[in-house]
Amino acid sequence: MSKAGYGQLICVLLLIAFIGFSFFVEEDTVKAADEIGAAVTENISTQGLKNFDGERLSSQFGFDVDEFDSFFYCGSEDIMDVREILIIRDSEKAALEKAAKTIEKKSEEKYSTYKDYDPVASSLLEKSVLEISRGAIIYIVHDDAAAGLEAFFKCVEE
Amino acid sequence: MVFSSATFLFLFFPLFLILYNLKLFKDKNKETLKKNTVLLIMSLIFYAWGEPVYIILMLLSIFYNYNAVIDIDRYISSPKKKKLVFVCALIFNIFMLGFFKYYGFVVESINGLFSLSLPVKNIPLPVGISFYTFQVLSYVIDVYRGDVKAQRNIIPFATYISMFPQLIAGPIVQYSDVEKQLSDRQVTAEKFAAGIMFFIKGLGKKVIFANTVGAVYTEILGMETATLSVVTSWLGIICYTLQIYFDFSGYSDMAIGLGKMLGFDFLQNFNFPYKAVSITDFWRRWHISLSSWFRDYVYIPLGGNRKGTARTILNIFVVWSLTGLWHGAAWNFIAWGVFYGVLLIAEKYVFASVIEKIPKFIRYTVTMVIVMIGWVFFSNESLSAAFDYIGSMFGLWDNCFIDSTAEYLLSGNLFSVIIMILCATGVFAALPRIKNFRVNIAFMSIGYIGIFILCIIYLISETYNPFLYFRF
Amino acid sequence: MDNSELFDKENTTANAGKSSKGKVLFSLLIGAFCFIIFAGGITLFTGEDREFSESENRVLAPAPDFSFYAVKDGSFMKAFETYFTDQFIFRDEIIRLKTFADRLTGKTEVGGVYIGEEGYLFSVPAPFDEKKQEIMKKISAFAESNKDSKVTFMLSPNSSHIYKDKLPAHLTLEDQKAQTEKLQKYTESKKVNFINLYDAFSAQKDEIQLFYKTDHHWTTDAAYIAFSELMKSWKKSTAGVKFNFLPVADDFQGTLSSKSGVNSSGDIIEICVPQNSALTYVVDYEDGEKKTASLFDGSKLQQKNKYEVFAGGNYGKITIRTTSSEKDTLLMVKDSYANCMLPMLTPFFAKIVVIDPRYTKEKLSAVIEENDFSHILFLYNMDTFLGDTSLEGFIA
Repeated sequence: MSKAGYGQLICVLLLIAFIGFSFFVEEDTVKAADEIGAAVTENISTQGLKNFDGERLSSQFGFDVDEFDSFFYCGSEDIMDVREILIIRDSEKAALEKAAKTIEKKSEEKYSTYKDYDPVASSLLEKSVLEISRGAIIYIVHDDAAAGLEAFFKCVEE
Repeated sequence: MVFSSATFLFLFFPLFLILYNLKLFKDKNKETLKKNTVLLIMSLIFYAWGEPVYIILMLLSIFYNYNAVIDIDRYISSPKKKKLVFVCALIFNIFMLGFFKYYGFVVESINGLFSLSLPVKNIPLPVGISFYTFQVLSYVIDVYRGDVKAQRNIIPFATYISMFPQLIAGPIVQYSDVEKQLSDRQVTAEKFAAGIMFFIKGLGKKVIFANTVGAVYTEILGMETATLSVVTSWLGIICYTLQIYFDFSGYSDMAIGLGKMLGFDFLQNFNFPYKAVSITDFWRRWHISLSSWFRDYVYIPLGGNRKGTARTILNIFVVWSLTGLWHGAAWNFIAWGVFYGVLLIAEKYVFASVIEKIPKFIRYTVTMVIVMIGWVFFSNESLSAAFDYIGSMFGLWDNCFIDSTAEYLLSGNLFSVIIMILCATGVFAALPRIKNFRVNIAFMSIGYIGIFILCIIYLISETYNPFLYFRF
Repeated sequence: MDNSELFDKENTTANAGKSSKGKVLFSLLIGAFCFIIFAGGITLFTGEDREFSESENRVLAPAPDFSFYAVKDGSFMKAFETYFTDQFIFRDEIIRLKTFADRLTGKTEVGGVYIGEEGYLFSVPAPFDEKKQEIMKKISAFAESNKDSKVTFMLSPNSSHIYKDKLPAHLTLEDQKAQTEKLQKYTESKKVNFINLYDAFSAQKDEIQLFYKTDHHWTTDAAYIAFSELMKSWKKSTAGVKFNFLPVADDFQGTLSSKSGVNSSGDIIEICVPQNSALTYVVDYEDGEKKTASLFDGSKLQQKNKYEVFAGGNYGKITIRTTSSEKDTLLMVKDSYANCMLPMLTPFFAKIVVIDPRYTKEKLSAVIEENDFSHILFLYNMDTFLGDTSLEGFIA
């Protein structure tokens, strides 16, 4: 085979690899939500935030928390403080997607409440991040949401 | 990145102009190589700005096809091997386009047809893949046919594929049209100025015209379709008709303008399509680079109209289904394509003798109504929504002819819509020019700079985002 | 084939490109174009970034932080574009020019605000929602089970309805009078005193300015009319109290002005102070978070949204204790329309508890349990009543 022929072959292989990477092989992380949560909160300020239990989580989002493999939830007791960090781990993709939809809806509702009323809260909600990756949901409402998200990706992809 | 963004206009493009025009070499060939390299690197940044991951895909396409064409060229004396490489290249390109553009659509259609529930993964569409794949295909096919020479140097080839002016929304530039300019091109003051004018004209079409009427159509789409008055629904579809033309042709104009500023001459992509007096005429004027691509690389290879009536009709259907599908991975686009296929066949075989006798004005009106009905299919994702809308246009749902909503919308938009119709149908362009060449140029320069400033005003104020404490 | 031949069909600009006579003139165009794009870019890097926009009343986007992930998912590029347009030179002037141009071309709707006659701006009213009958039923049931309290429901129309003659031509909006009557019909209990302000407002709309031109709120004058209607229905006499109206600002550009970017002549804000030398009161915000001796916050007159001079803005719960000799106590469930009315009520109640359901998590049942109220008032404007759902949660 010619040099150009090898060139084509390599490209075909790389294309298959690219499709595979972006499509099929994204194995779930083995880490539990607590561990991911610790990695995330290490990178952002948690002053005034505290870890909540499942009861609080279900009252906030209406989840049946026993359905999830594990979760991590922290937020503030103060109603006007909208900061929160939520991580949900589950092996079922559909369950995660459903939960993410619920979170998204809640977040939008909250935003419309605070919009035009509290500039700090609404700007935080506006730049909140919600992502699903490697069998985990991350939802952050925080000044350092971007840094938190980065830490999350790093943690689940390790 | 899009042209109508502050980052492009005020950072990317000025920086590009400096790097591109900085004269480093006395030798003409070296200077062209430098220009191509700058253009290539900046184009890759331009693409990566909007699609940081999918740039890998474009690079793969470039490397693969570069090598494939070299192989095709090498096996010039052994047709079998040559054919093998060629077929592989076709498969590679069509698979890449097909997978990333149509995967979700195909899976969903299969699920729908056989009531299965195969998992659908939403793969975001890589921007511009439809355009650059078609450009690559035209090049590979031309080399295979022996119409153009294989490009041995990867830089001009990669530049051709990734060149930022036409990368994202066309026009589809065929390799043979720019082959010479890739190795030798000149930018004169006149050409640069003409490029600026094209660019500003396109920017204005997009930012001032298309966005304005687009907002009206969006507002009307948000209303209950069945209760729209006849006037409202016609106003809505007229707005969409104008929006899609100004948006698309604006983008083409910007691409042509940028091309000129870099020394390229791209072919015209739109020629006043809303002046067309028949459907055939419309498609000679609308998205010319796509129609000619399909003509040159699908219709004619299939036999065109040389193999009898039945085969011609079949060919037309194939081409138009593909044209529809090219516009988007959904059934409404296929319906839109087939709709035109049927009409073109009807014009060719049924009405051919009658059409000439009908007064031009009636032919024009009928053509435009058909085109607008086509846009209803194009803009509504589901066929039933499209039929609902058409029903409202013709008062089939017992909706009233005109209501206060229509009067209000008309009072706010009639003036600008009429101006836009005059622009789109070429009435303004046909006005007599100032005879004195210098005065004409001076006026045009001032006019274009004015439009440019207006565009910037529109662009920046679009981001007006006041914060209100207005919860009551 | 010569490409430029093709361009000629659509475009005469290509014609220009063929001749060499106008070289100097071309360089004029090229120079101006290049100047604009280079200047626009360079000015981003000169001077300090603006942190806050006075005209938009918001914090402007800062330069985004660069990180691999932010670039990979494209969020860096999006943030950069926002940063660039936010910091763009002459941003405020450019936006003002655009608004001006819009009005020249006869546009009557900017940023979801109708631009009416005589400087009036109107917000787009919320659509009617049949589900609201549930609330009226709940309030009826509540009134039936609380026989000791007088329950009153008062609904204010919005300016787009009262001043509909000043709306842009051809614009017809939903009929709030009919909507109010519909809601009144859903109120099953005779125990609920439903006050429809439509007639009182219509009668006086020409003599008195009932709504701000640049803001969605009613004026203090309108609040006084509503207050008088309340007093009539509660059979309280206002004879012993004199109400003084004092203008405190004449350059109020309200939320409708901010939203549309249209600045008309500023509105006058008046405050209404009941004159009764013996009366003092203490205002307690959010159960002890803040205590003041006034229902006005003068510092808010320095900011953009001057309506917050009334009761300092929106709070979830305000408790007012007065030295009034009256024994009556009032629970007021309200939106921000009520804020300018609060001072008028102080001489007539010993205690007023004010709840804005949108900003509190308290429930009606809990509030009722803690206190005994002789009067309970629901005071809303039509738009908030139709558009907001927090009242449902509060009553449930």
